[in-house]
Amino acid sequence: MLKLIIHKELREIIASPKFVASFAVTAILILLTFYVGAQNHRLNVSRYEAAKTANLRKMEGLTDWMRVNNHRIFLPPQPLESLVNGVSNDIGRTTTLHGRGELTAQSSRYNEDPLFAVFRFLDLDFVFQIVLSLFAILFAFDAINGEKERGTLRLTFANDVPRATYMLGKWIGAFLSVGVPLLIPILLGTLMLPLMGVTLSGAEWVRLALIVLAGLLYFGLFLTLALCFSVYTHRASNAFLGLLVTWILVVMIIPRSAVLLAGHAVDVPTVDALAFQKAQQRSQLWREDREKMRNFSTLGASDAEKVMQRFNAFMSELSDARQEKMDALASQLNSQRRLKQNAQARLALGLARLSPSAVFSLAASRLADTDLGMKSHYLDEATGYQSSYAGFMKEKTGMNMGSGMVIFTTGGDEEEEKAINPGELPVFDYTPTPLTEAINGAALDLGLLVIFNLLFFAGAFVRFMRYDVR
Amino acid sequence: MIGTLIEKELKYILMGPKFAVTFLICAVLILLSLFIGVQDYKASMRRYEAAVALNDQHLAEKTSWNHLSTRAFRRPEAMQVFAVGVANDLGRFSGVDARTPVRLDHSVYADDPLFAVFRFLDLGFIFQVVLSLFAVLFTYNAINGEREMGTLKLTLANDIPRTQFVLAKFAGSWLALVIPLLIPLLLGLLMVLGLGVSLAGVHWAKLTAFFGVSLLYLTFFVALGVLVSGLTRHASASFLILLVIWVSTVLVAPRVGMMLAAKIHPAPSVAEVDGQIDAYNKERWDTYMAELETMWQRRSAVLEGLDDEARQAYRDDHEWEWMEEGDNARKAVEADQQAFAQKMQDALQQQKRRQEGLALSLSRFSPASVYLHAAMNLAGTHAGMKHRYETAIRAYQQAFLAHADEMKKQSGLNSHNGFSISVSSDGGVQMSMGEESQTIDVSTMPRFLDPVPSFSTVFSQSTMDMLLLLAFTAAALIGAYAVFMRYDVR
Repeated sequence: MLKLIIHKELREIIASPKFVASFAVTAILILLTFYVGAQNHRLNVSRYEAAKTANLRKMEGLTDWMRVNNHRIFLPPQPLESLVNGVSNDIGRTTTLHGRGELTAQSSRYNEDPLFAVFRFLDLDFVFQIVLSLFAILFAFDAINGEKERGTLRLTFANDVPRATYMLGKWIGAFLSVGVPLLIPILLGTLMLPLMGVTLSGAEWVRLALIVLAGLLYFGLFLTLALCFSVYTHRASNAFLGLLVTWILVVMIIPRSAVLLAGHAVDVPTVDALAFQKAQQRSQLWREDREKMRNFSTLGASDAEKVMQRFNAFMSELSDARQEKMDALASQLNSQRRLKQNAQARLALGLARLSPSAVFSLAASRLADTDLGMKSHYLDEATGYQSSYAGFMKEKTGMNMGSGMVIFTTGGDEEEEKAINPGELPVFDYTPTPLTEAINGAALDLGLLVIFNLLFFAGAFVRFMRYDVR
Repeated sequence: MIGTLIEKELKYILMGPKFAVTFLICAVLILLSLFIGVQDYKASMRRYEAAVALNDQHLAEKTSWNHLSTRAFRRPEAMQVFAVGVANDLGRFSGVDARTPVRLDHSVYADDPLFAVFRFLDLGFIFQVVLSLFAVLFTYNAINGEREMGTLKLTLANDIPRTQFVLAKFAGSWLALVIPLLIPLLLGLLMVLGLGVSLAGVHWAKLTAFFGVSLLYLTFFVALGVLVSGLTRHASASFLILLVIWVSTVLVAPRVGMMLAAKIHPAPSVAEVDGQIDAYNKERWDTYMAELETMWQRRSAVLEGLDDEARQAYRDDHEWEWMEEGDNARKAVEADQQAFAQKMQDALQQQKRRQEGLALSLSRFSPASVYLHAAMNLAGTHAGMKHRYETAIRAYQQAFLAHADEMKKQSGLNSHNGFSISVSSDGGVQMSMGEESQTIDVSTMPRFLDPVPSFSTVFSQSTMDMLLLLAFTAAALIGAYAVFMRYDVR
């Protein structure tokens, strides 16, 4: 009996013009998303490589490692970023290193190209969240009450059809007829990636599979919700209206309101206030060091090179002490700000999770490594690299970089110095968050998607047991 | 007759559940978006005022005119309450000094990515996405719905001109959608004023134009709904077609246009250009160091053979000349570096403008893009805001540096509080530190003035988009009229 109902549902949906139109639009959108995502990724990779080359090229011809300054590192583009953008285009992707001190990320993509911020990029998050959810509503809003209006519902139940079986058959039939065909453009899209030169690692394939799973769960959720509304109303038009209202609430209002509320509830100190406190301390320490520099004595020495070496060592010592104090204050202020930011984010995302749309978006961005943690992860990696860079520079120059004052002596009789090899610099090897960590992070949201599905189905099921089929 | 038809249409829509629900949702969304907009604007203003005050304090504590730097901050725009545009994507300030190129950085979203996760809800978005969807809901069965119910043939069995009928359908649907919007919009405006956002005359003019463009956009979708309803026999078919058109024009086409433009006219990244600028700066600096060495050798040659007293006297006589010479050489380096950086930035901007021009042209096939461009232009939160601010900050940079140079000249030798090193065969290596001076007087320093475009400027920039919207609407209306003239009412 169940199989018959599923079969009937499948035939009804697939034969309808509704299915043809929606499937065509959705398939085109999904394929376009993969195509554009692959193109964007290749473009981003070429820009990244060009930026790295330009960074090294400016060091060519230098004969002293001490003259290396403004060494930059860049957040490398990841393939999944182009498929689920998250905040990847909002955060800075360039960091300038000075060998010590705190790091900031600058030049976000949307700041560089604000026109792309107007409409933002087409990605899987958008396609599933906005488009597929609307189409899910379109397919199932009249699943029960539509049959009632047409008179076929009572005919069906004139036979000995268990209600539970009927309900289950309706849901499975709707999901199979719409969800399974979606796998075709998704699979074609994933095949497109390696053909267009976008190589994914094993872990990235797993992440992509989980993102697609989350998308299908989200799609199924809206199908179930539509079924639920269809059972709770007697007219298809009322169900559709109710679903549209719910869609607007869930997709647009709840997530944004959650962030607004959290913004009011938790006060995070601004970046400017922190920068000012750090600048105040820097000025004060510099004033104190001026006195020490005034007391530096050359002891009447005539060998300029030896005096300069002693002076450089003296300045390096002052700079190290100064930097240590600045790092301590910066660390304290930054961690206070980060704590507040984390509290704000926890509240905002906790409230936002009342919306299945937010839940899906959070799961997808977590799996694609483009969630809120992306910026702090990049800066942590950059800070780790800065230590390697500082160690390398100390080995080459004998002093810590960023000491604030470097004095070069030149004379007439030295041999022509050999140019440095910028290729010797340690390479910034960015490691994305491990797969297990990403899955653990997304587990709550994936679980919530399943729970929402079950809740809505349970609601529809319970109501249908007492539904008046006449 | 047309009055009766409009009244009938209005009654039909107002009595249905559709109207009550959509009115309620619109009211909640409009009031919520304006409330969020006001909170965001006030938070931005607080952030801006605090940043400016801190910067002023920092500047006031400086003790030398040498290597002076400041920051120019982008003031939040009151109109962003209604259309936030790229205000939170664009950097909030740029450094202003002799060496660094002007560049807005540290956007709200970059500093606080939490707000980028779901982004803001504004009136522009509500009109663009939600109200257009409701316009489709109100009109998808305007003609074929009546045909299915059998009332169309009854109506036209009377002596009712088809022209009047279709006009009445359009007008009735339009009034049923627009009039209820006025209530939450007026309440929202009162709320904005009540929450302390002050709007000047230019803002009211821009706001009026913004509402006008928004209504024109809704009018297009009402006309489109009537057109598609007249093209199909069944309401379900017209609804499906309209939904597909809505998804394509509102959600997909604008994005595809942008992405095609990026592919056809790729532009280098800022990081790549920065690398090229750094390479030039390094070369120019090497040249300057070589010139300095020649200068020092020349001076040392003159001082060679003189006793201490004569050497000191010679130094005293020539100190000011040497300082000026050094200063001029340094300024020449800075000017060359700035000029090169400017040239690279201009080349990059030119490539980006070509890309943006193509993106705008391609996206203008979608009425939603056209509406959004017009709305953001009128609100002053369009992507062009970046170019506008960076141009203004560059002009300010020139004024700031010129003022600092002038003050440095006026303060003379005493302004030097840095480190000096001298080497001689008699005295060996001598190092000395200048005395720390009093804080400098920055009260006469030029202030950065935000480049606020006038109403006539933004209106003229939006004219093309408004005309396009008008053309789209007229085409849809004429199409609806044409199809209904031949519509089989049975």
